[in-house]
Amino acid sequence: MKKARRTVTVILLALVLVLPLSYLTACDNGENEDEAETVDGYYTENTVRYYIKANDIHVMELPIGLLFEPSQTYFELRPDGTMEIRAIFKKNFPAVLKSILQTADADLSELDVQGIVDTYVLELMPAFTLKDIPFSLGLLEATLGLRIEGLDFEYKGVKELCDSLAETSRLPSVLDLPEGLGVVYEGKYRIKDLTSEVTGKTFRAVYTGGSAANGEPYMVLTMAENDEGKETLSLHIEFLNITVTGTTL
Amino acid sequence: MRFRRTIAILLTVAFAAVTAVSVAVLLGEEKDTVPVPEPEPMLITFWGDSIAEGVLGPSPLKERDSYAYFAVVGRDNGYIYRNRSVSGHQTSHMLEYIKRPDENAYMNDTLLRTSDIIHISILGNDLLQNSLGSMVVNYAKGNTASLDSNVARARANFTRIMDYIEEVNPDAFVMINTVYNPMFEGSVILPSSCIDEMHAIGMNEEEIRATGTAMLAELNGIIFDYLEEHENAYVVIDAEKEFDRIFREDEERGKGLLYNDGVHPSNEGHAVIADLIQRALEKAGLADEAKALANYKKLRTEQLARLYAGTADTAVNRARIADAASVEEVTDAYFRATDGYTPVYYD
Repeated sequence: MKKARRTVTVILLALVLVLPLSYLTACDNGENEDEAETVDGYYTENTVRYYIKANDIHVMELPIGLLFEPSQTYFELRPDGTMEIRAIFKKNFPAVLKSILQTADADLSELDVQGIVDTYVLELMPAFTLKDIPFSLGLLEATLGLRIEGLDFEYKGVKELCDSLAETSRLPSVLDLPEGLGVVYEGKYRIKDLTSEVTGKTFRAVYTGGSAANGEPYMVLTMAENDEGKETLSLHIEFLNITVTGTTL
Repeated sequence: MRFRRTIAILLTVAFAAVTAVSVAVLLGEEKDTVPVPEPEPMLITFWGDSIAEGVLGPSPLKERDSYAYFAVVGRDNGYIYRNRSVSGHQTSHMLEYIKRPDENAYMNDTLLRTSDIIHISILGNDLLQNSLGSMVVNYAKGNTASLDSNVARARANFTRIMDYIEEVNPDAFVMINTVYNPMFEGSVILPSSCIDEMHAIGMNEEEIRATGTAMLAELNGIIFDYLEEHENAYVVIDAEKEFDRIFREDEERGKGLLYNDGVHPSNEGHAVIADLIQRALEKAGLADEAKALANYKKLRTEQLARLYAGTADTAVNRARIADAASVEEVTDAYFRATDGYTPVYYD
């Protein structure tokens, strides 16, 4: 029972770290983007960057925000309709991650990576393989627009990670990863003002990625202003109980 | 692409204008002709659990807008469609969720109150997340206490959900999915230890599946009982009955209606549910059968070209889709054509 709970926790953590960004880009193909152009909306007048601080990341009451370097973790909206989400890990993130997992009574090396790949990842991204991580990460970028930044395959710890996954389908007990590692998403967005029919309040919705005509992308961010008069951009994913808020400087 | 679309739009507008003028002239009413604006598309919203959310289910995920049933139904009928389902939700969660005021750009409250059509998939997690394995084994041994208490709780919440929707949007056309039976020998929904226990009390493969059927009769009974007490409150989308029919007629296809995790509908499972919803909408006069069929053929034909170039995207398979007389035939043509092929969804 205890082991099952640990495993579930770790799986959830993996989902938390990987899936939210992939939702952004689901359906983000050329055809759908083209259709989405017919939807009304507008862009920011200037490039606006919303920095995400550690305590502005709420994930199932776990301090996931501690993993990221605040100066390099942000949403950025540009006047040409493109956007970037950048989440760069702190230099010591493997140690922080281990510490977070310990508080959740979990251990990364226990994670049955192959089981997760077989059950979920292969469905989400057919052809994904642990035997060839560079290919699989290329798949991630080609299909979902996610780029892993700073992953040097010549780096000793990265080689060990790839070898461990390919040979044992498990993560090494000690993660040694290069500085500057992170995830970057580049895509499109549009803003639309929506008015509540119940309260009359207007919300500024930021639609990220593409969707088919008359549809909606998975994630709709909310643009607002905080008590200090600074602009905020919030992402909320109900099922993972995630709220991430970026704030302008 | 945009140029082609512009030309197509111009040609369509020109054709429509010429037709309208011709008809008006023929009727001698040219002086009084007023352009009739296109009616605003209907708003359909989807609520409930992960089956409806369609994050785990569509494969590859990039094709969610073409495989998940909410999108297929929305696109086929030209509705404005919004999905507000939440993976993991039990009836208690959904009840709390739909009662929240508008709190961000998802605008849930407004959507619930202004939907023309509402579709719900719920109840499954009320069993799945409450020690399903031991519940099944106990039920097989004749101890129904755990199932009974979970069903009773779900029934009370379901009633509150439906009463609330009736209160805030009495005019919406509402549809409710039944929960399909994912249990069969080899399914991953139950741990092998549970299957072993059921074998130990003398159950065979058929009886194991029948156990699931019997338990779901209790759970889905909530839906039918409420409807009996509240006539015309909603239309039942009987996914359980249709999945079971397919399973009995073609076991392999029946098993293929489920995703690798043994819980969620696969691409074809989503298509089967979409077809059921489509029929219900047509019966209610809320969908144009010919238009939806044409749109569905277009959607699947485009997927063939996008995902299966050089494999399943053949003239024969395209013709089978083009010649299909119903959405069900399109579904069959597409999935039999693509069976066994891995989609190429990357450059």
